[in-house]
Amino acid sequence: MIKIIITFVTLIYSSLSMALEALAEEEMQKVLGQGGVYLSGDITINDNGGPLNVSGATIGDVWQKSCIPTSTDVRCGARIAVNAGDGANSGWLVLDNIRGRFSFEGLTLKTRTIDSGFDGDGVIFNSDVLEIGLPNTVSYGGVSYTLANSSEARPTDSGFSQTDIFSVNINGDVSLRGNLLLFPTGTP
Amino acid sequence: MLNTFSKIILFVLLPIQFASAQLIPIDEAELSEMTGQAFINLDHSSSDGLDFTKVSLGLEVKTSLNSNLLDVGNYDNGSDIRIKDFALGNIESDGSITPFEIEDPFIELAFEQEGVKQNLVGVRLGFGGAKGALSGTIESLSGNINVDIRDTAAGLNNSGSALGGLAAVLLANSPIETTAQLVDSNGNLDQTRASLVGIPNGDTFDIYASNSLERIALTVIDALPQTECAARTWIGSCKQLELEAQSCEALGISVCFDLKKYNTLDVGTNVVKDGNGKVTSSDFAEGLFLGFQTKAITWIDGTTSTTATRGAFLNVPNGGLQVNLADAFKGTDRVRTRYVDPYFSGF
Amino acid sequence: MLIITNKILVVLTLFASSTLVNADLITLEDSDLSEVDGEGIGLVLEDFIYNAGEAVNGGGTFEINGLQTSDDKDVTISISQFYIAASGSNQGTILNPVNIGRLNNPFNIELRDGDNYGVDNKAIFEFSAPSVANGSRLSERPDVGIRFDLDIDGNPFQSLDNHIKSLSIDGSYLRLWGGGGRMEGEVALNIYTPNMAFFACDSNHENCGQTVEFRDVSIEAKLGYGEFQPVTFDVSSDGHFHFSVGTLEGKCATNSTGGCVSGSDRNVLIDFYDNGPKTNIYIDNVVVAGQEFGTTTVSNLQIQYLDVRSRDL
Repeated sequence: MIKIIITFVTLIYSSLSMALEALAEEEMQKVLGQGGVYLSGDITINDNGGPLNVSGATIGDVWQKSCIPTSTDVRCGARIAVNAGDGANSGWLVLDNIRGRFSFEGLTLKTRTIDSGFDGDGVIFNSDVLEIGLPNTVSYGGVSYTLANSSEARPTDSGFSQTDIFSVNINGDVSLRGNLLLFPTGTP
Repeated sequence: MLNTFSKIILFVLLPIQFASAQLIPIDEAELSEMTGQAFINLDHSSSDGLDFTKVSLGLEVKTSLNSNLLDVGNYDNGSDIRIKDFALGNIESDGSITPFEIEDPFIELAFEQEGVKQNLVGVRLGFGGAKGALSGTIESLSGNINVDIRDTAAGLNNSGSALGGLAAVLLANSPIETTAQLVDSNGNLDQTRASLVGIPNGDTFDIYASNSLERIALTVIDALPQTECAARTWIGSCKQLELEAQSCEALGISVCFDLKKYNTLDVGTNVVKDGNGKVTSSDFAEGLFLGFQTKAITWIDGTTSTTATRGAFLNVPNGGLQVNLADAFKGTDRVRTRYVDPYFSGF
Repeated sequence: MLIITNKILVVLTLFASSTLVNADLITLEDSDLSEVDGEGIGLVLEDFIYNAGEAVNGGGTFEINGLQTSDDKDVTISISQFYIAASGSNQGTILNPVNIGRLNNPFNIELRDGDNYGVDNKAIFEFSAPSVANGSRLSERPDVGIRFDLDIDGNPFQSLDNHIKSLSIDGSYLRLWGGGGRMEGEVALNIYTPNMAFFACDSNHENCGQTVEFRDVSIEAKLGYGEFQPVTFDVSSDGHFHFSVGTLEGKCATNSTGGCVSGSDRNVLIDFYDNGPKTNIYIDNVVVAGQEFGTTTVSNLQIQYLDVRSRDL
């Protein structure tokens, strides 16, 4: 059970973490056998590059938009649109213009048996948990996003209109220390 | 466990519709459809030696709710505001809900400069506009709840006073206008922990004569104490009589009313009612707020300023509540606020 | 529904390569539910500290912009301090690690059988905080604080502090299910703290003024009652928020005054008024610079209908 969760979580993080090198199955087993995985991540979204664009009425004249960090062009950045209504008649809650750099070092994954501590809860618990060791410091470099409401999922959809509610800009380091413990509950 | 885990992941993801789009360039015309929106405003202002920071939300709220008790600022054996069976909105006789409506709620903070320090001295939750039925048994109220009384003199029949009854007969169609406010049992204007609403000492109660007989009646009543003719005809008969209130009485008529009798108040301006007392139309009233102050603070709403007393304070702007004399003397019945309502014999 | 468009070239390959294109709401069968109820994933934070903001990280910033004043000047709100740490933090100046959630009463993610929650034949996704019974002990209740720096038109003018001691949200939950082609839910938010403090300082976070303290705060808010009264949140096609708590109108046949006539529907309404979602708020004392302003109570607040829509100011 625990192994499957580890694989799943690792998959997510490895796909997001450019600096990671894929582990061969054999190596993975070795790591799991030692009870730990050490991950560092560095995610960059449109840090300095941009989406495709058209410069005129003639489709086909396509070029890449420059999205340097100081650019305020609304074409720069990723977009996630969510519709919690009935789809056809409702609009979209949008995280738009997602860009910047997000990095961390030292996220650890391992299994661990807890049978003591936790002000007496550990002895009673006496089970395995999956421990995700938080990376102590997470660095943000020019991370920004905009919360918006939109009539359509994509800006290219017909009838598109969007109202931006506010934008967030994050720079610098955040302390994030401790462990997130995951374990099954209930009586399977 | 795996089963559960994967199902949870699937369940979380599946209600959400996924689509991955191919790359499509965005042209300039489409981008012009992106607009900023003034959903949240933050304002900073200064007035009367105080600094104000105000956060407003652009919202339209419609609600129907009930609460057993709203009790704010309960200390020293009393409450600044205490309303039992508080309710907003009402249920009509056909079973439909008429909600209480609120526009553009805001939170405002007031700061007083003390040397180089900024002391937080007040906070209020207010509404750009409000209308609808506010029900409850008001045991204690601090605030402004000016009640406009508009009626004809015929309504004095409900006063229980012989003179009032006589005036009702003599002056049947004469319009009466006055404003009642929170008072103590001696008729003094009292905005804190009041349990009475009435015509404060020194305030007047105007009766207008609409024909010559009524002018004669007004001229006769003018001879009594606590009355003054405010306007006369060219032959000297009185056409507008002011009755002055003192100690909760005017001309022997009681002019202070127990707030508990007002079981439902119609918040709004230009409230129009049909023959059964049902509100058929009304407009949003500005300036409804619930404030909390450590000292008297003058809050500003547009061109209106309202001085709120120390402690909790509920402001309902003048003109927001309108009753006729019958309501003033008898109070107002509570509207239905629940589908199973103890005020309607449990049905 | 979730759509990722490509104004971007991003690393969200997991989603982009997803084959779950245009999947509709999926309801788990009862046979599936019998397998899953009672199993979930527990979450506990061990030795946890979160600390962010320029005040503590040498120039780091978290800024919210795009807001305006009513006369269209730009507003920037900076979060210059945000911490979650063990109680006794002295407003975030002493940061010690804290365990949040208990091993035998953790935060929990679980699929529930809707039959037990007034949502027939559907699975409910539930994220819940530790239960109130046998809940978080003092050592498991963190201090949480946040400081906002306010700036209008490039002129910083004020810093607002909010510090909450020994916070517990035990008993809170979020439940979601698919209903009528949209997402529906019910939510409970409990907040317990011995002390919630607010004060203001100048833009350099100096010369702080008197503190307004709310002591022994207990807020227990519940919205939604299964499919009988679901909570919904969506965005309208003209780009505004829409939040609603289902109306009770039409839940029973009514008499000439609008009340329920006798019968089973009336009994359902009686159950709603007796056992349905309620909000209770109790603040033992409000204290400002030594002056006491007493208790505040809101008891048994029940919503029969709520409809909230955003609009331009």
